[in-house]
Amino acid sequence: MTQSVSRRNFLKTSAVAATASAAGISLPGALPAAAQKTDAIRWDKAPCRFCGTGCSVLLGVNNGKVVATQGDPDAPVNRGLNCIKGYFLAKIMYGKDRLTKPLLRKKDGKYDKSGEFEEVSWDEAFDIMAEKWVAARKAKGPKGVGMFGSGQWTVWEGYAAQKLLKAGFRSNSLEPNARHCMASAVGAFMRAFGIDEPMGCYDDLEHADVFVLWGANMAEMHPILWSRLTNTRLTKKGSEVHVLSTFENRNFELADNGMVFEPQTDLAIANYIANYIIQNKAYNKDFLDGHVNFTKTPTDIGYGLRGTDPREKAATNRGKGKLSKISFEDYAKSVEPYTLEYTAKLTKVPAEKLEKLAKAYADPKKKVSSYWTMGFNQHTRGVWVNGLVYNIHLLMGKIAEPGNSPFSLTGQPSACGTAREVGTFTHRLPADLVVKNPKHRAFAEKIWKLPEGTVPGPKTSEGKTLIHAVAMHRALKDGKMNCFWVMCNNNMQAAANMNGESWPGWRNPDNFITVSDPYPTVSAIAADLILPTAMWTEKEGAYGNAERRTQFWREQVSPPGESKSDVWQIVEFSKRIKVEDVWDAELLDKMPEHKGKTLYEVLYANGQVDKFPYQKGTVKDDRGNEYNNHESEDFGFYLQKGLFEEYRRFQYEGPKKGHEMAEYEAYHKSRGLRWPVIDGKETLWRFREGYDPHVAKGEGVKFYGKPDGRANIITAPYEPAAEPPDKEYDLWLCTGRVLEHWHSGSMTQRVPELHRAVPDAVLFMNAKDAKKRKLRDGSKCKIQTRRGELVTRVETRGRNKPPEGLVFIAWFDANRLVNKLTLDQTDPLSKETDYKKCACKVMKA
Amino acid sequence: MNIAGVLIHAYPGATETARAALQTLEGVELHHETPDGRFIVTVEDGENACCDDTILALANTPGVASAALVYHSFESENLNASAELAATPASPIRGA
Repeated sequence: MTQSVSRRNFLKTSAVAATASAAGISLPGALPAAAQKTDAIRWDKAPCRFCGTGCSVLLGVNNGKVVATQGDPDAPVNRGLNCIKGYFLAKIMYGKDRLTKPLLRKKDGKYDKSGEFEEVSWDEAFDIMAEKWVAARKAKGPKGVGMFGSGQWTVWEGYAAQKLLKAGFRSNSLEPNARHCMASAVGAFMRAFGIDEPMGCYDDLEHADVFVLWGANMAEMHPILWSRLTNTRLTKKGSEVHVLSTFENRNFELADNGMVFEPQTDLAIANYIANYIIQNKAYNKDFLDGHVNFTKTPTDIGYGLRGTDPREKAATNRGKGKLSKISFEDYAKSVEPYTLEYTAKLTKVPAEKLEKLAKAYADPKKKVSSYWTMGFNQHTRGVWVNGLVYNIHLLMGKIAEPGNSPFSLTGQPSACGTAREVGTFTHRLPADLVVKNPKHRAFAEKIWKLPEGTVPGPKTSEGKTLIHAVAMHRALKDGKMNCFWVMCNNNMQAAANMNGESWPGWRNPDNFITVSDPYPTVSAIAADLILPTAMWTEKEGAYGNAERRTQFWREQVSPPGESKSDVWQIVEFSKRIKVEDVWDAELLDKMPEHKGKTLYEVLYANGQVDKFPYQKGTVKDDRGNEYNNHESEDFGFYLQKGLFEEYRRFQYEGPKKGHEMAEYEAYHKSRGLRWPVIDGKETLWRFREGYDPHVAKGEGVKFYGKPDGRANIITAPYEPAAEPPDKEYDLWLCTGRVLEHWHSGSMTQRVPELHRAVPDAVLFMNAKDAKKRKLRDGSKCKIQTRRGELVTRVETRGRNKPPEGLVFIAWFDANRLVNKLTLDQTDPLSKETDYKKCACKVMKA
Repeated sequence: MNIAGVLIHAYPGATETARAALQTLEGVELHHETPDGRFIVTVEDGENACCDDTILALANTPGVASAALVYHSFESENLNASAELAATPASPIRGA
């Protein structure tokens, strides 16, 4: 046997043994003793860079490069498994067109918005940026500057940005792309429970008897959770899977009850189930009496469009969401119109399927877990529809215990850990605090050692300060915001209505746009300054997944060229700004010791963030391996640890309990911990005695996010979508993702195999609709909406099977900018864009 | 040299379909099958099939409900075999 054959056989044996072990199968003799040897490769753990599942992978590094990956067998989330994107994970760092130097648009040796990109030094990049930012802040007030970050930011990147904008620039113009992703989920959590994020965890995937997928294509978007769900369905007697979607997707292949409904009518389906439970007196009266309040929300609230839009002018309660108390009887009456007959007709779902679903929720013996993602969140009634599913679970008392779990899944690796928990939204502060509450602002200022009044409230003498993601592009177009820094996302491709708002906003001659990215994305190319960025394991990081699990990783490999991580960029940039440039004299007089300082000295070298020393060798694992930490080396202190430990004070000293995390080092030693972490112990199910340390003995269930410990059932009706199909634009257009690509494809499109597998976004269409338009499978077609058009090919036999009247296209494809088509409609409460419903027409191209 | 270990779940009632389809894929080898419709397979580069592309095809194979990667070695052929082992079935980093 030649060496390479024996090597191949050996690796194959290892592959079989690893796979069998992940499946819980023991294969005799599969584990050769030699397989324990791992000499030249240094192994370490890291959470995956892609979705919100939070799988842990093992990375094998040799000679400064990742050479092998393995699903982490000790990770409770993925138990040794990886999905296809995880398989290609290491390749995302090695795309051919990585950016390695800052690039600035220049003409005749000077910055010029109409110039070409030229390589510049970091000094030159930050000098021009600082000049523009200070001028914009002075001329236009708090909204003059803005930053658009990400649910892919590490925890400390978000935290450093939070401080730079809200305390440094004294501006609330900070938003994450998570606004497009799960703001509706946050809104619903806060309204129903007074505290963000799911009460359950992934363990529910093994405990539940019934799974209901409401607008979540788990098979393609959360494949590892899907494989756990599949495993339960195949091995647990009596388990069943219900799938709801506006088109047939891959989940339907496993579904016991698959339902394709008319877009927007999910509101009616949820209300029908509540009505069924009440009519059949199946509700849990003791639970309702002890733990629930009944409320209603204002209706006819508009669609988050510009105020000049006739749909907004017609809305009687535009943007309103204040709850008012009602009785159980009022609530029962509010859902009474949602009879089986009415709902079946409105939704186009057969009555027997709806009834089967309602019966599963209403059966007191069945444990039900509900899952949703963008189908619910990207919805002009997203907060409402999230709440309607909580209503069902609360009616039955099927909540906050193993298997009974309404669960909002996330799309980004740290939408929870960073965007939500650190609060990198315009209206939020860390640990569920909000800028509109003066006590919360004062608390943040105390922790940050800053004068009272530093963090602006919603209204200041300089005007209103809150501005959400979609409004930022509008403000850029209108010249109200002049500087915009986009980090760790591709918002030119991702934001709705690119032709109408995003592009004119970014290219407005008055504006200076900075994009930090590892690759020349659509956004980078549309910017004025591009900053080359270190990604994923090229830096030390922390993510928080959808089940409240915080996970850390160490820097595994060095970033290429002059790339720097986001946290380095934020902190280094702060050295360019003098306090006097951005604070008024009155504020500075309250703490004259800050006079003459830079924002760096005030925010980061503040005696707290810089208190942990760093030297080469500080970061090591318990196997004796040492790791680099380029940021700490540059700044001279353990930057990430300092930021995290200061952030943790919000969890322990703040006015809201229930967000507690363990100390920094604990996360390097574990496969993540689910908060609240009390005395080193994580919490799997919140709000229930015996599981949650914040619920005292004898209390049973306590929704402690609310002052009275009770959750809200919030009634809300079905209301139509903003732009349903009509005679001219006769089809629903739904946008979304595919298995092979993640979001805008800026990473996955650079993996040759993934690009080859799905190179272009195609239009999934019903064969009958295609025939009507004289199109066949593979025909070239033009999709047109009131805002734009694009050309692609028709797919009638693919993995997604739309019903007649609806077409679906994924938005990863930079050559087919789907957001030229979409409408910039948002949920008026959460301000999250609805990318799932607008009207289009399709013709031969 | 690419070698991957993959855990496959067949849809209920589709074990036969999945098995038959998997057997036609070049570079795919079935090592173990459980009574509840799970397969342990390895995927290698073939003459006309690159491992990476085959992996992508698995998820879209008839009868396959999910294909989860567990292990991937992508070392080059000429590595010194005794010094370089790509991965081990048990975690190479017990503890932290």
